[in-house]
Amino acid sequence: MAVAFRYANAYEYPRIADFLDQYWAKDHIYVRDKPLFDWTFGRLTHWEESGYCFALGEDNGELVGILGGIPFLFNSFGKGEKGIWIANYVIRPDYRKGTTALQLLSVFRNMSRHAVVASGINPATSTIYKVLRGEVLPYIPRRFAVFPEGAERMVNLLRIAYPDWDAPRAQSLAQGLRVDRFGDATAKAGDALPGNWDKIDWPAIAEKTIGAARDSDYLTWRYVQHPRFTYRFITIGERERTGLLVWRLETIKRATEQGRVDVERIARIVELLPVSAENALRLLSTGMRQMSEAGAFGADFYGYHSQTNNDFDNAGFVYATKLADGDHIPSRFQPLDGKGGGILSAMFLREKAPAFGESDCPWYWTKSDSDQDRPN
Amino acid sequence: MLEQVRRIAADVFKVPFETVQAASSPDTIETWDSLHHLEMVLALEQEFRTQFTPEEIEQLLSIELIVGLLEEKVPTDRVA
Repeated sequence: MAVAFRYANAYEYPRIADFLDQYWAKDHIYVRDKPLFDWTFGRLTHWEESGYCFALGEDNGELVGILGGIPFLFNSFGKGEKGIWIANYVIRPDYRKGTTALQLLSVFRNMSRHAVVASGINPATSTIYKVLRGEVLPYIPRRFAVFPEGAERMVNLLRIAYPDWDAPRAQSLAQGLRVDRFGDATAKAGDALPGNWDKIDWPAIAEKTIGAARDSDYLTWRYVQHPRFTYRFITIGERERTGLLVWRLETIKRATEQGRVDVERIARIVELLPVSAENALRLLSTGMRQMSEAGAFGADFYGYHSQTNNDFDNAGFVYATKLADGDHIPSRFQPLDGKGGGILSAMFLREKAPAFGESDCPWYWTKSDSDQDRPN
Repeated sequence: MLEQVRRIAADVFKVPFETVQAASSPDTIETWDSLHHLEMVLALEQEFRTQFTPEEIEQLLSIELIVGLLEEKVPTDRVA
């Protein structure tokens, strides 16, 4: 076995799709949806090669391993560096002996990238990152809110996900997450990124945070140009600045013998970049009303950043892990399952960075980082 | 040192001690896949209080290669 490694050419999607279908998951979304694959792994403005950001391992021209990459601009307190999210790390079973997997990972690790990040890893594979002196991070904290009229709907959802739960158990969790009433939403809100975001807003955020840059190039690619999801922007001004919230509506489907059936609607908040605590409250109050009017019974948000999480708490959201059954709140809705919603990540950084604590955490990193918020 | 490494490998790969020999490799031990390889590396690092570089980890593909590298890296007082 002499495995050679290289990056994929733009014409090699069929080979990669076949490999994913055979060795990763049958009929995976990246197999069914080439535009989504192209959008995810073909962000060429941040990639030095001409083809896909995808590493291939080949033995005699035969594909034996693949590892996808999503290049991004890594912000470290205002300083821009190159970063890459890695995804879809698959080795053909007969090559899982030996070190093919390690060598494939090295293709990205050996590049001049400040950060190599794997988000949504299987806990069983965390050993890879530990041995290679990577950092395995705590699960991303999740905030959750059930809207004032949504508690009974949450109970129904929980009892579908967990048929063995009795009603009091589901009711207790739903009530623990319930927001009593929506806050004031009289502020004038916009629905698009302001033209001066990169000049005024992003620099002010960047100098206080670390993580994938939320400049207009990223926000436009990630949310406006997404080929499948419709994300909604809410902006509210404060003096010369503008605060931003991004969310999308997700229809929760249940797997039945007759196929998938719609059961509920939930709002997934993926960005909260306010100007101040008051601005955050306005964004969230306006957002929750919009989400409720769109049919959502509640909303969730995953993120490490302490101040952002405080803003959610101030608006009535609850840190899910603090509740007895909080980590059981479903997160995968296509179809709905009862496996909870933890997102485990690991990364390699060239320089030491602040820790991921619950207080004073400057890492701004949400569920939409990497390819965690995508159709499946 | 060979005995220590054989014992660690047998524990990690969950095979009888006698089946792990100096020439043993991923080709001869069924359970020696990439994840178990890394678990063995962690166990070796802990036992011998050393650290392997990523390049070294990729080369540790037989018990005798492991012993050879450990003999270069580890002071004799750390060997049982």
